Amino acid sequence: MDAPQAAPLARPGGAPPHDAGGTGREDAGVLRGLRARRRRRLLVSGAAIAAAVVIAFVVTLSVGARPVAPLDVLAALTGSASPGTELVVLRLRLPRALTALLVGTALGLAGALFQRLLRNRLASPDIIGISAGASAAAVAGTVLLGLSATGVSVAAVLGALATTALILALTHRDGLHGVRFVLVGVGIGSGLLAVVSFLMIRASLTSAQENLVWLTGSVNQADWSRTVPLTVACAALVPAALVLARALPRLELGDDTATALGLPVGRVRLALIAVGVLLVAAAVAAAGPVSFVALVCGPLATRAAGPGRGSLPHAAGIGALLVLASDLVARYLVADVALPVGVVTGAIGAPYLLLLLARARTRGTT
Amino acid sequence: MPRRLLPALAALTAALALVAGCGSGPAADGTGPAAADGAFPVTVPTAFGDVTIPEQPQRVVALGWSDAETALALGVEPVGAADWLAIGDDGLGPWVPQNYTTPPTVLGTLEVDLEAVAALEPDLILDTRAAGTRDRYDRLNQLGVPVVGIPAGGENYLTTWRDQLRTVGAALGRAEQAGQLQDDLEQRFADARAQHPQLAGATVVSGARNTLGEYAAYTAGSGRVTFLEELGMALAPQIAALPTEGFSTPISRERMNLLDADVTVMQPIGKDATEIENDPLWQAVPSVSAGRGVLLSDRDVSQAFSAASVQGWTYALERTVPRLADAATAAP
Amino acid sequence: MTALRDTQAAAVPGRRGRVRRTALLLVVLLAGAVAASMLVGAGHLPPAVVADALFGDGPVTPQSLVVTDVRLPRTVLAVLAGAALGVAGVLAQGMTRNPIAEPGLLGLNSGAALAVVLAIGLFGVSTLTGYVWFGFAGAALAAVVVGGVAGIGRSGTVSPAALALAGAAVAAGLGSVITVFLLTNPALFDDYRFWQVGSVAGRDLSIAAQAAPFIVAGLVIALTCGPRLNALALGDDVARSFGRRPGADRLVCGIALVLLAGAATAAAGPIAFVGLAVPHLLRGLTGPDHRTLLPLALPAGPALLLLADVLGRVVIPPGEVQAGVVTAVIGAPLFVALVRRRRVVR
Repeated sequence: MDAPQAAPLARPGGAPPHDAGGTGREDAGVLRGLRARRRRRLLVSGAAIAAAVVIAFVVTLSVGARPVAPLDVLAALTGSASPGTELVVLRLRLPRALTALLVGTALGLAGALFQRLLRNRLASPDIIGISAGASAAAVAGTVLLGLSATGVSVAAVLGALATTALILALTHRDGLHGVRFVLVGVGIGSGLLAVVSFLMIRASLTSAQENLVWLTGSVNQADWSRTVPLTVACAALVPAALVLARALPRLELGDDTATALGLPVGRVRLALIAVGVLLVAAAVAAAGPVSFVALVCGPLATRAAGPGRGSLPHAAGIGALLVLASDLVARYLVADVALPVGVVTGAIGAPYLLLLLARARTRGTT
Repeated sequence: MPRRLLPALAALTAALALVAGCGSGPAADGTGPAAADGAFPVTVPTAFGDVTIPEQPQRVVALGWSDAETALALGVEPVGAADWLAIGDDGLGPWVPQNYTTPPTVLGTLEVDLEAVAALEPDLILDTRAAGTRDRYDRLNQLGVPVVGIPAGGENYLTTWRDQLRTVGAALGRAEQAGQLQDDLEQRFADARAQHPQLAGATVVSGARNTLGEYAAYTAGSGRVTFLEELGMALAPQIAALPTEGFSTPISRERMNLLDADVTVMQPIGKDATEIENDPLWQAVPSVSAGRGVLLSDRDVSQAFSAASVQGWTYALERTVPRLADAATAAP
Repeated sequence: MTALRDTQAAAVPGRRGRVRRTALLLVVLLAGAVAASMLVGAGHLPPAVVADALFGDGPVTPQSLVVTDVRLPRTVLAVLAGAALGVAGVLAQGMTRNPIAEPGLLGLNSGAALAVVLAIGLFGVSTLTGYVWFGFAGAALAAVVVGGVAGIGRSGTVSPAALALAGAAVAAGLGSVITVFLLTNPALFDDYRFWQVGSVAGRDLSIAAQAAPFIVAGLVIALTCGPRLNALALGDDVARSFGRRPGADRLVCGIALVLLAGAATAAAGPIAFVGLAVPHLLRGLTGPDHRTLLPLALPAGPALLLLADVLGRVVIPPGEVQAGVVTAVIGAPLFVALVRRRRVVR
């Protein structure tokens, strides 16, 4: 049971971030060239993702039971459209589109953060028990306490935070150990999911169905009362996460080296976990635990941007794009039924996950 | 956005719509009211406060459980309807004698699809039997259309048939007709009581069985028990004493004797009734072994009984009273 | 081969006596658990009534029916499923040389669950008897997938993290496929939500009868696996030097594992952590020899599952907590303790 065995799925980037260290002077020119190419790749892929997000956003605002032309969308946003159009665009679709955008951003960023912090591609909040904690608290809130929307959101946030605190308390002895954190999370998560299934049979069918929708993750119920708090939370958390994430490359060198480089390892790691969990909590409170977004964004971002720290904003952008696009599909997949967006992200995520696992095996390192 | 702002905004929008006049709606299609018995505007009390409906509604969206068939009973065809009992097609059970001239858009019951509702351009939204949360009401209210939510005390689908009928009737300007329907059904109950005096005071348990073979009993205030009480029967004391969760309480298979009463009514949930019929534990319930078990094997009857609507109960009444009466006659 | 056996036997002096005492203890525990399962429940029945219903020839009464139609079938099923899960746990941990391997964590539950959803949703199966076959097939398939994906068949050693994550990930992936069906079909959802809580209640004897042949076959094969697992525990190279063929050993153990875990899950629904706890408890009592672990798991698994079931009957009267929920709620802390205490991870 030694650490190298855990390596196959470890390290989202593939190549270590500092594989170009220790160069001589004659390599400096090559290195500069590499850096420039890397920066170009970062910018080009970033711009492409941003453009796609904008397009998906506008499409979300314009399609629906009553189509609104993109120009009219613009008019509605600037307040010069007909009242009917303004109702549809500003009141019904804008909160939905914003929620999808922000939920995707938060989950994509948090997932990539956890994956790098715990050095494991599978270590996303979906799988290491954090979503399970939010789910158990939310379902208990509706079934046992009869909470409705706002109460459920609060319960979910508290559940996510409490579960993470518990996992941390159980694993944080002499510094954080990624593998142990993951294992304890999986164990606690499976216990909590049993509680969820128990509560589901205590509830009436209609209440159980409402819970099922929530558990899948949905932006169908988005409205301003939930979108505004989400926006505020993201405005604070996303920059904080990006700033804190600058320490990641040093953390990835190992605790001893990072400490030698003057990094307060314990505190930085705790802060990163806290920001990650808060991002997840904000997203879950607004839309429920939308499945697999957190899982797939990190590796996709790495593929788009190349390894290294530049990939975090990419992960956020890919998350936003994924949720926006999935929501569009979910609305029209089955006629007359607006499915929760989590159904689509799950359908994309599940095969990807199996692919990931199978790949890890064929590399023969498991 | 602060929650208090929302109702205010909604009210503002509603007021604006009022000022602007409601001429923008599609032309009346002939199914509209010929002779409204109420003069508009009308004000309907709900759990979320009084709702004012400025004009005779022409395009009604019925979201609550049994709202569509109640509106239909009052001669108004909704343009959109939620199909709570998953009947399919236009969502009307066989107990509804009316037919739609234009089938409504059937809306899902999982989540309210605001856009789909808005696309129907309603001028009235009925939601009188539903989970009845403030949140749901606030969301619907954003459309700037009068929303008639649950009446007071109707949380968790517990709106009684009388409250539903009265609320829907008032909102549609057909209070008189609603009163008439209520009198009719009450008369039917009274006739049944008069015809079968043995029902009076007979204790009853109404239950259901799920896939895992577990049973549950409906509790006081639930539609099923109300139906039986309208017939003069009384909820068995051992059930009335149990702690409740919503409108029913689970019964362990080891405590099937709790189902014993003068009359025991049982419904299958989602399944055919043979599993209940063949269950030795069901057969061994004293009332059942004495021939006083009433198993609602017919899916239509069972659903009409569960619909707790005027027409559902009219249908269920006809088909269950003879059996209930026979069972009550055999009671000790 | 003899050399292998000798070194193992010699390594633990006085082992025989300890094993015998442990076996006796476990059998007594199991008898107690069976008795408790027959005597304790939501309805209060005097022991005399229970005895009369079981062995007497009195008339059928509602009370005697509770004994013969409620408590007896669930006790029989718990014994069968418990034995299967306990032994499966020993097999899984031995094969993967991994202290956290367990049928539930390997994702077998989710495989069975998906198959059951398909059974209800696509083929209109609506009885528990009908679910059994689908659940069995699904669990078997998931075992093959997770096992293959995590690379159990290759080197025999799988890191705890890779295994736990593979199981959790497969569970999450299949779960979201299931959700699509559930959201579009309320009746299906209503059936499924009751099945997906692992429980030995509400299943009549015909369910146990259908699962029994698979479980018995699995147990018979598993009981021959002691030497195989012992050899695998030494690592493939050493095992080969003792003249064993690790690939063949692993295949036989894998077949037994799939038979046992698949049949148990199909019959009782997803019940986690029994397979995790049993091998650990036994290793603490008698040491790591698989030739004793496997037979000892036979009484230990059922005793554990029965006690969980009985506990679930009395915690929230007049309702019940399903055995699968009890084992998960008790098992999760156990799992965490294991991960913390043992040097599962460096």
